[in-house]
Amino acid sequence: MKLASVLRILFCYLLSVALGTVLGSLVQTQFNLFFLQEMGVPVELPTRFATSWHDLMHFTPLFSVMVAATLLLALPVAEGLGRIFKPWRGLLYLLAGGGGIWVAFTLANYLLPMPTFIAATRGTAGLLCMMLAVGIASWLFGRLTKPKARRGLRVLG
Amino acid sequence: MLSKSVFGAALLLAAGSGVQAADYQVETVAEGLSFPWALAFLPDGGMLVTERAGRLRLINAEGKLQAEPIAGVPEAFVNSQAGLMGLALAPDFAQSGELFMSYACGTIEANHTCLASARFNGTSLENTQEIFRVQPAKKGSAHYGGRMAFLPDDTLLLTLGDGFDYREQAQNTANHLGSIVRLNRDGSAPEDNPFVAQDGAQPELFSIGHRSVQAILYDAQTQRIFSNEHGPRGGDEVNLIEAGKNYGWPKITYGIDYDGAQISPYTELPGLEQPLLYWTPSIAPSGMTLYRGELFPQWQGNLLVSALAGREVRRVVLDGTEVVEQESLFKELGARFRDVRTGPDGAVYLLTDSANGSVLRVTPGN
Repeated sequence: MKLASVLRILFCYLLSVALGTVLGSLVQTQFNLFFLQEMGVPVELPTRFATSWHDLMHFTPLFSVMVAATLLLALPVAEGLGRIFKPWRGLLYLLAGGGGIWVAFTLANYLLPMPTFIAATRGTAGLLCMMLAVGIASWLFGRLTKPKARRGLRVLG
Repeated sequence: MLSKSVFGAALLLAAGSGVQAADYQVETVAEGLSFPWALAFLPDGGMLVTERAGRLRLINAEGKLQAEPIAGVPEAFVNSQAGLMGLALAPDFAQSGELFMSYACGTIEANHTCLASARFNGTSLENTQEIFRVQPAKKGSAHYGGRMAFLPDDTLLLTLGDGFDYREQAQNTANHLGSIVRLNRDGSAPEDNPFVAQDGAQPELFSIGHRSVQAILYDAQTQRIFSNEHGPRGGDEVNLIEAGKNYGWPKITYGIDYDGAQISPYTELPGLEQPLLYWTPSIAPSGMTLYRGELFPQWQGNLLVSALAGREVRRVVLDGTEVVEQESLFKELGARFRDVRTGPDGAVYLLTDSANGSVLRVTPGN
């Protein structure tokens, strides 16, 4: 593989880690604010922006490590399956990222002292939205690294 | 013979704080205890100690730890923070022998903070019975509370936790999570409890909006109730507890979540109580005593707060309800401290938090 290709893949990987981290951070902030609103706490737009910004500064360092490790393992799996099930490549990348971060959440909850490491994932809706955030990042990597269409053997498609 | 060994005398200089330092010596009263959690002094000079593993141990009046645990203790759910926790002797213990134990009960999937009463006959417990159980059940083994203090009217305050994953429930008066409850000695709710008249509220509630209350005490001299509680990352608090008040968790907090996220953008909101004191970064406060002994006159009226993560006892100097000074004590021991008590002899007693935990006695040097 040429150096340029390696660098391109590395760039796409870092881009998807950054996207997954930022999307995940924004998602969990909105859920935390929603929990407060449900208790009658006022959350005006400036407060929402300020809290989202706080979390982009303070939540992302740890979460980016989780996303990076997840995608490092999930992307090759998605790529391998995508070569077999070519029409479903995008969906496979989405599922690999989303499923991968679910495994990461489960592992963190098992290994760390606190029952649930990321509060937004305590409920099904928050968990699914966080999975979707990382799934989109994974899908983007698949989209950016999609090989050009070539004639040849196709399995299941 | 009370002491087995002497750790050594320490002259503590509170660098830059201006508080009065003290000479003290630390003796080991008992060791080999598995995560000792709470200590109570018996009228005959002995002591009872709970071990989180679910055992109650007796140190007799001669200072000797009895090899066999006391029989009759309720079965505790033991896991992580769960186990046998608090211990309180009834005000009339010398006559009635009645004591109270808090513990986690249930399973990992569905458990509660429970409270049992029993009669101690000098060697074992009799008539052990569960008298209160937090509702609803929660999953996981975190944030139980479990400390107790008697009020002058013979009612009992029991501290509780929010169960970690259920933090919003600390604002919900329809359950007990994240609150302090006030109970009669039979576990029933006193009729003058502050939430009794509120539709749908649990009648046992005394105050709400707590995260994980680790200590509570009633000071007869000032007629004040003090508590401390763990914040998340930062925001550990000392609170002045009053009936019916809301202490804010998780609507307001000085801490952030362990993952770095903001739990609430607010540190104060109308109708929510402010702490007397908060610590960021966290020291993880555990036990607390308001020193009224005679051995350390310079500590008179001060709060002594034991700390787990901080590996110290924080001496908090109060002027009324204002915190005017703090001093870090016993850092040189390097231990996680689970509890601190003032003994009837005026000595300060400490429990160290480890699988080989100790009861330590602190007296003036020389």
